[in-house]
Amino acid sequence: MSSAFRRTAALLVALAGLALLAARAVESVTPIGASLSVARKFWRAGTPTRLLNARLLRHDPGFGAALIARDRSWPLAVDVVLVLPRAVPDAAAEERRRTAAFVLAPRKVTLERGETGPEGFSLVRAVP
Amino acid sequence: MRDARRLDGMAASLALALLLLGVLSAALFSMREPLAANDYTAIWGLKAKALFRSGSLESFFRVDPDGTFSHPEYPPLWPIALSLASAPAHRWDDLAVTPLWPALVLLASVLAVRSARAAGPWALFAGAAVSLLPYWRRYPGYAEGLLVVFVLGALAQMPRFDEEPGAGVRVSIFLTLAAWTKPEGLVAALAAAAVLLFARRARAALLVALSAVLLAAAPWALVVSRLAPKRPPTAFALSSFSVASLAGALGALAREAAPHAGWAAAAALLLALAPSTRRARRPVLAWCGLYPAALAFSFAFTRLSPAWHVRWSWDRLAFIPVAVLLPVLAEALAECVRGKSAPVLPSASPGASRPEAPAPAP
Repeated sequence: MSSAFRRTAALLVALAGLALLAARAVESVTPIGASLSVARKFWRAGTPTRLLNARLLRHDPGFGAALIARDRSWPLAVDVVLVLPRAVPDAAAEERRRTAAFVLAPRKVTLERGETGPEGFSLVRAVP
Repeated sequence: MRDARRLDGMAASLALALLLLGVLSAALFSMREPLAANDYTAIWGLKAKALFRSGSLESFFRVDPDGTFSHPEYPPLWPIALSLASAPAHRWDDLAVTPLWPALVLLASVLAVRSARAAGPWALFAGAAVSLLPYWRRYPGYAEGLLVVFVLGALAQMPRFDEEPGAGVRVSIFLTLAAWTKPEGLVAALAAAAVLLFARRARAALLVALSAVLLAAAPWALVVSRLAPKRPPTAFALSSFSVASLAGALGALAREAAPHAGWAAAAALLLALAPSTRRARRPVLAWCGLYPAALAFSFAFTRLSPAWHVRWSWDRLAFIPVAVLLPVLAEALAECVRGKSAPVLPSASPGASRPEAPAPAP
């Protein structure tokens, strides 16, 4: 095998691979203006606003606002019960419990089924 | 000679530009919004937040006492690092910890360059490729980012075995830290020990294995047994061994990885074109085979659906050996472009024949 062939083949393979990786990297942040604008908004906002608009809560703002309010007002030592209607499927209920566990950490969040208000959920202090 | 220098100069400039692109794009991607990806909120960020606010490792077990989603048995180093990163802000904030991510990208890239030092300016391509890996933009906040830094740190020490007496100790420190980061870190350490043993470096192998087990896995297992209210459920168990699970996992892996086969073919072609690099880096290549093989075999012990396991983890598991392979590929590229054997460090391949002296750079 000639050295010229080796050099050409290796360079072609390497440059093609790097070009593909680079294209994907660029794609992940384009349009750059939009990425910078989103970044600017998040970095200028306060912690609760950031949390409320982050991927975790932005599609469930009512639930997010309730969690943030409880997180600010309840002591960290208090554990929490998340009450959801029986009609909510198990997977969706577990998803909400995990979201609540993250926002309310280090509190323990347990799930109960029962009557809730018009919001479709209740957050109550766990009885020790 | 002048042509070779000009080519080296152009390569260095291009690689630096790509490295910069990789780090900056990962920085913008991860820092434009608070960390909130799946495993971040379910595992790493959850524990970090709990630790930051409570100041106690017990909180790892309080947030999910049944261990249904947060894997309380996972090692604690990444949540601890996240928690410390939030300290300057004096409050927990998922945006304040984001700069840690591009820092890891940069660190991993620099370590990849150091690992491929035999390749001269072409080593920069290893760093560029590591920074451009899709993992950094797909899973910000996950623990493999820290894990890869420790594994590449260990790799960067490998060629120094014969030159510096402390290199073996540094390898074991890096791999012990890897074992404190993720369960796969322990697998990485044990695979490295096996490769070192095969390369007739029994003392280094023993040091790496004992250090990872006695200074990382065992103490953490002790902490878990003391603090967990009940034994955390694990996804794997010896009693769950099943050949069908293994076959199912391998089938799922083949299906998931098939669309990316071109990358494997390109890597194989580069290695096929560079016999000296292949010889010199045989231990690293062996590790790159052994580590994923061990992880794939572990699916034989899964309690869950192996296809589900593979689907949600295979690309993250593959990220580590791919990052380790990239410095070797940079060396292969250098060997091909220079038209002669890349400089082979005597220590790079303990099992291979040793040249009299490193070949001079062109």
